Amino acid sequence: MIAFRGGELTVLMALDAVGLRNEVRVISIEGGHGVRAHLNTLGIHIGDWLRVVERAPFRGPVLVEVHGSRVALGRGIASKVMVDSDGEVRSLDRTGQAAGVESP
Amino acid sequence: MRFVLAGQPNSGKSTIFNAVAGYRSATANFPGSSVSYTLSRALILGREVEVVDLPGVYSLTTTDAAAGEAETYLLDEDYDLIIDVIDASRLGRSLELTLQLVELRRPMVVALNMIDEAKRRGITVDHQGLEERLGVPVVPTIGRRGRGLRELFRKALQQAHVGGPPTPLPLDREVETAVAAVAALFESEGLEPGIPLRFAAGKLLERDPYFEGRIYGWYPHLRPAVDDAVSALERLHGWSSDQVVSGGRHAVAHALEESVVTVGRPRVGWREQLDRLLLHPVTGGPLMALILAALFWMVFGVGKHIEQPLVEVFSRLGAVLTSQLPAGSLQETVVSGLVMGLSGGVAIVLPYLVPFLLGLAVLEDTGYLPRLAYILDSFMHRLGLHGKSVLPLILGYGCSVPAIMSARILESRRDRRITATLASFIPCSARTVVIFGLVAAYMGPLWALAIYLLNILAVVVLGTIFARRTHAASPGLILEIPELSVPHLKTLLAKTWLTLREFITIAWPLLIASSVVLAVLEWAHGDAAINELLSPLTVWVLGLPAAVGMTLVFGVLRKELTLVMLVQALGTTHVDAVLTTAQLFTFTLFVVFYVPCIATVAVLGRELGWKETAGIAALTITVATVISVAGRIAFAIFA
Repeated sequence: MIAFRGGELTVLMALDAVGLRNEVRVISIEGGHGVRAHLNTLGIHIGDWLRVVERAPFRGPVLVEVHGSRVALGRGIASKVMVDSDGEVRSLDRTGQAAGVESP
Repeated sequence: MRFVLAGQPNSGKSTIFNAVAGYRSATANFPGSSVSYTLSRALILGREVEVVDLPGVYSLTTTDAAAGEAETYLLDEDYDLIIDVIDASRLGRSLELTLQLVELRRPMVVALNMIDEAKRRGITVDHQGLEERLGVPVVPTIGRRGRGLRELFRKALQQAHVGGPPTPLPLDREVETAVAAVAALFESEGLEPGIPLRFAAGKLLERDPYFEGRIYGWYPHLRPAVDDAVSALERLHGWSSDQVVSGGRHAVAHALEESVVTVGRPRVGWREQLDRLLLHPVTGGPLMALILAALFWMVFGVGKHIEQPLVEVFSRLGAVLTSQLPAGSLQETVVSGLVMGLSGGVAIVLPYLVPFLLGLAVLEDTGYLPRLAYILDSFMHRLGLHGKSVLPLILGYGCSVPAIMSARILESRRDRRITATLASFIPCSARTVVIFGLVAAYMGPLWALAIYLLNILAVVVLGTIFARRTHAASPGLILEIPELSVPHLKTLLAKTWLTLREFITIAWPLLIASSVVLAVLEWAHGDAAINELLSPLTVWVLGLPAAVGMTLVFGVLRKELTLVMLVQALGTTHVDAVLTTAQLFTFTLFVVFYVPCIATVAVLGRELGWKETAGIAALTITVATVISVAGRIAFAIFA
């Protein structure tokens, strides 16, 4: 997904496509009130920085660090969290493509 | 005077509660370890105070039309003061709840807990600065060591007497304008929302389903005007109103955090290194298998070495006592029943129960359980559930009752129902005692392991069937993974004792009484009728002696009873002299799967309704029969 933000072209990707140890910022949270509220209460809001600490194999959850605590997000949930990595080119070629596959 | 401990999950509420009330509230290192509140009287600085330990909540925002136990208690019950327990190492997030608690307009103190943990992570909090900004007394504490608790409760008593309600902190201007507009709606019509006005206005703006139901239930005509305020707010921000309000709180909380926190270098120690291995994609799975296997062998190894000498002692004691009495008399029967009940409890149940409970307590307190949820998430998705369901299922190995109650931590009703049903199939510690006391003791530990694996297989098959039957998808895993921590021996022992005390005071007398009742029934030949009635199942289908019929009836009271009653019914502690290994195995399989005990049935009835519980009970008997017959046939063919 491509979006204009602050006059610049940025590539949005779903959190489940972000590579290990990358820091990304939450741009939007898709999904219902329940999922959003749950993420909000765990400290994940629009504009927050997340770091992907671990990715479980077999489409298991993504472990992210946010404000010093660690939260495990199932792939389904992670695919609803759209993030951008503020032009980090390295991660764009590799995971950007994956994001294109993930998002409908 | 009543104080309420409120705070986010895993912030140490129960630990502080236990420090003042004695060990009554089970603690564990995972979010959601308390699912219902515990109330206790405590003597604080010479005054009797009631202290309530609420289940942890991340926020007072509800995502369901039904509010949780903590929210309802905070809103509707009568109490004098809130003790907000905050994890100092997660100050920003914790303050988001604090900001909401302040809006409840009750006297309050803040326990800035786990400052040792925060320091380890390089975080120091200026508690006086926080106190000034919040307008609420803030006391640094280390709940686990009891530090600062005296001061905390001194401040609490003082605040409950002289302190007024704290003043809510303002959020950003747009939100404040909207809140004021909604509050003005109530005031202009002289309406009472039944909860603090500002709080109610905020909740309506967030479109919180519980509060909408509650307030619009009384004043349906307010909805259009509030909806206008909501859409005005959404137009200004471009986000949905719930994100605007919660984002506003988030911003204020984090600004507060930044103004009082200094962050130094975190210490990266062996815990962080170990955690990387535990969660690593390659090493995580094998380590999980290793940890669970170690637990299994520990229980078996310890139990076996204690059981055998104890059984010897009791069978000699029984022989000596009964030889003094005339053979075949009622006295002899009663005495031998007493001895059997007593020895069943001491010699067979305790040797396996104690190491098992200790092992489970270690898993809980280290924080390994949420890691299991993380590792097993993709596996649970195959069952149509998600990783969080692992917590109730693992707790099911301890006792089915708290396991079924802990299914409340799941977000969707569908997941709660499936998980609670599956949890009742997991062999609890009572069933573990039967597995170890019969199969492991007489046939070897590998056979016992086979029963556990067979059980997991059955749970997987059942789970898959349930998931197929209900179409809605599971919402997916969102779970905080707390830091690993070193369990304290004192807490481990206290926790084990909490469960053990229940066994000693409730189960054991029941064991002894049932044992005597069965002995007398046998003496009067009253058991024959029941055994006869059950013989189509026990003799024809399962291929067991008719005498085990009564043991299965008693087993519905407590599963340990099947083992003790078996000893009583067969008249010997050397069960293998009477039953073949095939019979032992078939019997144990049936015991593991058929109707969980009365207490479990009661809690299932309360959580899921009686109709569904009856269905589950019927299902367990069917599954038990099918699996034990399969076991019997397998033995006939291969052995």
